[in-house]
Amino acid sequence: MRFALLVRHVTVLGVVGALAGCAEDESKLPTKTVRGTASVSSNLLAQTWPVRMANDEARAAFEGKGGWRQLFIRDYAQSLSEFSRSGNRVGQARVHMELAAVYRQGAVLAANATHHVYGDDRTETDPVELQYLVGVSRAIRGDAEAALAAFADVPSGASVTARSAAWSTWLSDNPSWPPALEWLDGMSGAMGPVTVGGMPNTPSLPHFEFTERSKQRAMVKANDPTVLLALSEWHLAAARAADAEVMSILPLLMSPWRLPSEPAPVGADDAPAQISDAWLFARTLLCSEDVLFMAAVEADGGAAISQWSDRSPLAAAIAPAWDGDRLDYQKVLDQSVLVMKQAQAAMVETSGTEAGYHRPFAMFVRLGVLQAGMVVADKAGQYRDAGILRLEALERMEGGKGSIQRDPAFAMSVAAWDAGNRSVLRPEDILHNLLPDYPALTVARPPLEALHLRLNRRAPPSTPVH
Amino acid sequence: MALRRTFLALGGLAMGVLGTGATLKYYEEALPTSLNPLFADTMVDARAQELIFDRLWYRDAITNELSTRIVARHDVAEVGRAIKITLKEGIQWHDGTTMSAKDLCFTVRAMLDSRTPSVVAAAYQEFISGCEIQGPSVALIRFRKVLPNPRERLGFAILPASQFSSTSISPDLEFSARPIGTGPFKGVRARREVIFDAFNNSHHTPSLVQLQLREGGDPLLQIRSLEGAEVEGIIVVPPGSRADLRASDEVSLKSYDLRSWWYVAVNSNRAALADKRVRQALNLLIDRNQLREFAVGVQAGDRNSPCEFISGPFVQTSPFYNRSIPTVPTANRAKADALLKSAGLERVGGRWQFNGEPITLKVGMQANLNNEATDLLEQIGNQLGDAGFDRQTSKVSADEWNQEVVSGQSDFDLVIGKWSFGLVDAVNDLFHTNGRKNIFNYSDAATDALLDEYENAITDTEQKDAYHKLHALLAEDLPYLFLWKLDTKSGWRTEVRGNIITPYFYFTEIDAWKAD
Repeated sequence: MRFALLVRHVTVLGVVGALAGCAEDESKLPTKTVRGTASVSSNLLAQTWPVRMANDEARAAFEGKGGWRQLFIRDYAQSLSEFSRSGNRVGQARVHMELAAVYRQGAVLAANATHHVYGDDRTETDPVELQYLVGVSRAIRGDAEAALAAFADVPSGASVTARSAAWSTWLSDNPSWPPALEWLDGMSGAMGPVTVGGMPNTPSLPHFEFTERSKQRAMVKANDPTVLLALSEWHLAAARAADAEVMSILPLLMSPWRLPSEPAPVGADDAPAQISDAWLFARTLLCSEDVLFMAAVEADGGAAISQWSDRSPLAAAIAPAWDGDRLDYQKVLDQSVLVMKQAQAAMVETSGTEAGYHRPFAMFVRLGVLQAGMVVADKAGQYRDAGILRLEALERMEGGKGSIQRDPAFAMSVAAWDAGNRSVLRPEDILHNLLPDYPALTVARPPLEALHLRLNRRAPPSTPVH
Repeated sequence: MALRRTFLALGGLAMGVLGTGATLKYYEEALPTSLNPLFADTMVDARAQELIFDRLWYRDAITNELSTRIVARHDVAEVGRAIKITLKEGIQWHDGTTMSAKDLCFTVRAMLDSRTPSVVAAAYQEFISGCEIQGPSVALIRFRKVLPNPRERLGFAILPASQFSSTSISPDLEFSARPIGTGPFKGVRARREVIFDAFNNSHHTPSLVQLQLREGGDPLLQIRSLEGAEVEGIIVVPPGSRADLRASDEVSLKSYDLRSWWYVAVNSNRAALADKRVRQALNLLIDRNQLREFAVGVQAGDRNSPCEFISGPFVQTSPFYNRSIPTVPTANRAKADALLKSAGLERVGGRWQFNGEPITLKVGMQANLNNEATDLLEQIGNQLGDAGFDRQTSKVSADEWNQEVVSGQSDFDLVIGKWSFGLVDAVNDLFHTNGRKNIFNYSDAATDALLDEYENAITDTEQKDAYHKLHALLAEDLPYLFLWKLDTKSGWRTEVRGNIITPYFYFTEIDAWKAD
């Protein structure tokens, strides 16, 4: 099946035509509705997978091929099944990596919600056993000292005492994250052997039921976020088993989804010169250089922009928005639209004609610019501005005509970010929409709902309105 | 009545500030019923009032941080039973006078005045006991009990004492059409639109010069107007139009976080409808799949559908939703017929009769909901008709809805409506015998007991458990036929920039909005 979609707006062609072939020429910049600085050369754009894949031959390996089509629409289960059927080991590795990312962010969501509701907002009626979950959450959030303090509050003889002790021991040994799969498996209940193309077993939920310390002694259902870590590591192990070559680049590819407790990956030095399209297709890191650029941002912040703007399309794209100290988020928003249109124009030039897949492909360029800006803003301490870019990126993954399906890992990362801000409505929606495809994410539901309930009682009073 | 006096002509409006900013025109679901924040009965009201007034504290639209534009300093006092608030200096009301502690205490006292018929105020009465002026800018608000983190609870808008002769505030005062606030815009409700003129203040510097709120009519015309740049925005884009706008380069679809669910309220004080079995039968006669497909354009099985069925008075993502209660997506005529017969109804000539009399159901729907769910009223009417009920259908104006339907004074048998919530999705006012928004004066002792259990719960879990039981009870007793939740999306032209939409309140960040 081709990625063909009907092109809708003939008026866009005029703008696109003006851009095609000469992105650097300001006299051909589009109309006032497309703002920004044409900072991405046609050579850099040509490096990006959306533009390269405007060439039929480059696209052929992915177009209509079982597995890649499903991956593009984020149907990972079906994608994995197709890749398994066709024996595509790289494809299998890719899907396992994506699944690992989803569950990793699920762990962060559970951790952030738990940290707030049973940590910061702890009440005297909360079951004391919940401090085990607070401990795990703080460990995931990278605060080992606070985690150990929470574990110390778990009473002896409780259903979670042994788990607390195990986590305490692990943390006290100052290990590097993450815990080994065998250890996580032991904590979570047997997930079964790592099987390429398979799925891990998941324990039945809820994991625990604790009694409130109140007159009514209501029961609180709770789940251990360790399970989500375990699921993530299981899939990473499956990815490595499927394609040994991924070992060298997996830390870079997983970097956007790493836990707060995990260090940033090493920079560009050890990475291969070229990351294959199997790892870039349908991602917002548009070429190998972008992957390395983002690793450099993790290490050096915005200073990486000038170092990479001649090599990385994303660096070039956001360069006009960076003044050396601060990122102008509005300029990033503008650049995201402009560079997307430049990419569309370049795709027309490559393919020789407009095609329905151009817009959705180009959307990845727009999202890449937004997400790159988001990371730079975060590193620059511009938390709110990063949030604006984060939410705009989520908004653009609308699905439907002319757009692309939501990246579940990114959606979960937004949910986790929201929960970190004690905001619950959007993460509840995100989680609810993902549960049919990822039922194990139900682990994260109880603390999120508990946080909502607690905030509900503290919010200004309100009544329904029509 | 004050509200019915002559309104200012559009051309004669004076601007609060002259600048080089733009004017934004946008379509709303309806005109606001009141611009007085004490009487925010509709979401349109709430959104409009957000432009005109400042709330004591609000949540940042992006980071959710608790913020304030008007409080310089606060201190918890009297061992947690009070909060001392020092207001910022130099904040002006739209009439040029300066905001002071007198205004803050006036607002509190107006809310506590039993003669102020405000549902908004009634909610604050439950925990605020009074306000004492301690200086020109300093006021002490007292609570009925110790309140941890009191700032989080104080989200009401401040009113100007000088505009009122007493703390007894009526919704009919001219203030409701021509309010004075400290917000970034000064608003006046005219006959067909509301004009908001920018008002520069020490704490607000709006970039826009003017906003014009218009009542959205035919959805197709709204979309054409937006695409043709005759307006810059639509607050609620009809679901059927979203796909086209999504693919547009001229318009951005933006999420508006608002929890809304749709319902058919049933007048259980009326004849046959008093019998639960009849209500249960109606619930089984409504084919929700069909309604959703024809009225909203969403098919069964659509992935990530914006329109999801509900089986009780909460959206499925709410922690209060009882997931063990199934929805009823399709009709079950046989089961419905059996229930109707067991309730003593007879089918004569294909039409249902009660006590020998044909049943004609009078069905109303909030008129503006037709923009979101096209012909829903007719579709439901047709389904009831096919099932053997005669019916009379009518669309209800916003004013009539507010004044008659919600206050329990209508003579409808069924009304189709939508309730919207923010973070707090408490439903006591809808179903309690003494509920302030109990549409058909529904009264059930078991329901009241559960609602009281919710109010009196000590822990969050107990509250949740109470509402889970309520959900189960209401799904059985059916004062409402629960339909669906429908996500809300706005559409704004891409010339509008910096347009961050705040969950529920919408325009909290309007200062940063710009337009080319």
